[in-house]
Amino acid sequence: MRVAVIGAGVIGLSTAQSIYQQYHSIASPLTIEVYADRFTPLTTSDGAAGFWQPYLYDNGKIQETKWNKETFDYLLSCLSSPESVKMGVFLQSGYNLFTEPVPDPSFKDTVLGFRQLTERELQMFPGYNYGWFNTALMVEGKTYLPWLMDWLQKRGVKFYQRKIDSFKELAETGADLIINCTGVRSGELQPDLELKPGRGQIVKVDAPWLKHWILTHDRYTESYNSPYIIPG
Amino acid sequence: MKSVRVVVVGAGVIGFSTAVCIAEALPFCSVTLLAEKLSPDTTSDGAAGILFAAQFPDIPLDRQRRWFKDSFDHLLAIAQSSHSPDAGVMLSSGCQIFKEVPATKKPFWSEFVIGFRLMTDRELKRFPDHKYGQAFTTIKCECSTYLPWLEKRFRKTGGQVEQRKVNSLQELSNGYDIIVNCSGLGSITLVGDTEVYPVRGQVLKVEAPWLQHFIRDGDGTTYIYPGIHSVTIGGTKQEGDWRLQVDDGDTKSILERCSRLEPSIGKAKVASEWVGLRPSRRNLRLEREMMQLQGRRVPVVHNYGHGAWGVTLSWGTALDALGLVRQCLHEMPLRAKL
Repeated sequence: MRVAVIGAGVIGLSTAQSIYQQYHSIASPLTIEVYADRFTPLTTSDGAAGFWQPYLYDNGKIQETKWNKETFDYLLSCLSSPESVKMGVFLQSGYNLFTEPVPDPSFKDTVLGFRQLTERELQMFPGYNYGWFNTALMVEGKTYLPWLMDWLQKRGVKFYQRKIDSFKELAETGADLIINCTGVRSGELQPDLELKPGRGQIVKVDAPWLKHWILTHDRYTESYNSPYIIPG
Repeated sequence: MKSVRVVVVGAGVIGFSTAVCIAEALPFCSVTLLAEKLSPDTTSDGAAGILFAAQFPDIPLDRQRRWFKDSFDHLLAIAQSSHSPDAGVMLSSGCQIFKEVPATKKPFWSEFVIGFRLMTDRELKRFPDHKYGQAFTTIKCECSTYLPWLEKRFRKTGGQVEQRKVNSLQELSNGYDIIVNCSGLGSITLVGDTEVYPVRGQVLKVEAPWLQHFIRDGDGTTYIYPGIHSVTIGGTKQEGDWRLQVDDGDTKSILERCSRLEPSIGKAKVASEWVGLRPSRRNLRLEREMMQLQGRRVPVVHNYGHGAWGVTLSWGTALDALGLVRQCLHEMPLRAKL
């Protein structure tokens, strides 16, 4: 069985890992290949802070909440492994800030120690009247991706630096199954009107005295258009 | 023109906090700080500096609450300001965990730290040996940065710092009108206080930048305190032990105990080891007395014996010491104030 994964960001590599874990003893022999034109440290995942927090409300899409929870629980279990440091997985607590009371988020039971902010904490953030405090997980792309690649390589997964222009191209080489993890450029392989880039620019600063993430929310703008600080 | 000459003995967190309080509040006083050891060689320099209090048995609780609250609020304001990195003061969240449910569920300082709550079962799962825990946000004040920052503030008011060992208060009676004694363990010989004793503490500084939370075992002897540039792990509490040298057995024990709380400590590089002698006393001494020195009656304000809670109570006790200095001033003959 030959599986071809297109994309080597956090989704592509995690998918390859899951396929290996679930199927390598069942669908033997199993060949997994990862094709991408960009590998770490040049993927989108590499620039991300690696902060685990979904959109605030799933609006009924409980499958997404389930995926998010499974991810969190998996990463949490990695903390006790001797690999945790090499994986770039660690806990960090912080603040979600709002200018008015809002309903609790879909992830409130997934994260650790979720609670409302106290008056004193709100005084620390002038301009914000409401908020949450909880402990979440960080998984830094620039550390996690190399760890994943190493994990996969050790198990015989092959990597090919190549831009794939069509599914046909891969099928013709004999792939039995193609997993499309091409992220923002999926439209080039298969038009998808729902897919849009969400451009994000960040600045990296040296501020080792900051140990909490701070996310602000503005009801008039979408997520991540309001200031945030995420120590890494 | 500065007319009243005040001398503060001791350049640890108590000495400098007290000196700054006095110098900033009383511009007509000239304040000199004398100490045998200055930062980075004081006991305060090696302390992790996490704000967290225990209780002195015989001091009225509302006084201790005030000390804690004043110190916390003062440092919180610095942590929230742009001075935070220059002063070495930062916010730190984490937990204190217990193997057995403690007698005091809500210690008196729980209302002064931020967001104090019980840990959830999921959070406790990470600590299989422990069954109860408290989570909160507090302050970490790193004296190796904070003391030089306080010194700058002190010098701005015209305060003078002199590195000199004071062997007896008699030496000071001619040059000064009020003596403030913040000499910690030095009080044993300086004022003959036999109730003061050292409690030896050894710590390691390790490189573990992935650690963002403090973890403290309720027994008070095992803790992990992530700081600005490194993580302080410890510790020991050896009463009456004067050894300042690093003990390899203690190092091994600290690494073992801390790795059990946080396995990734095993991956951390040990950068340094340090030993400090906590200036301990059954109750800290914060009071004034009139002493007969070289034929003169000189008021002495004592502020020492903070044990493991020097940083924690530094500003609050400094403010009280300032109050005592004011009392001394009111009672001084008018002549000396001109």
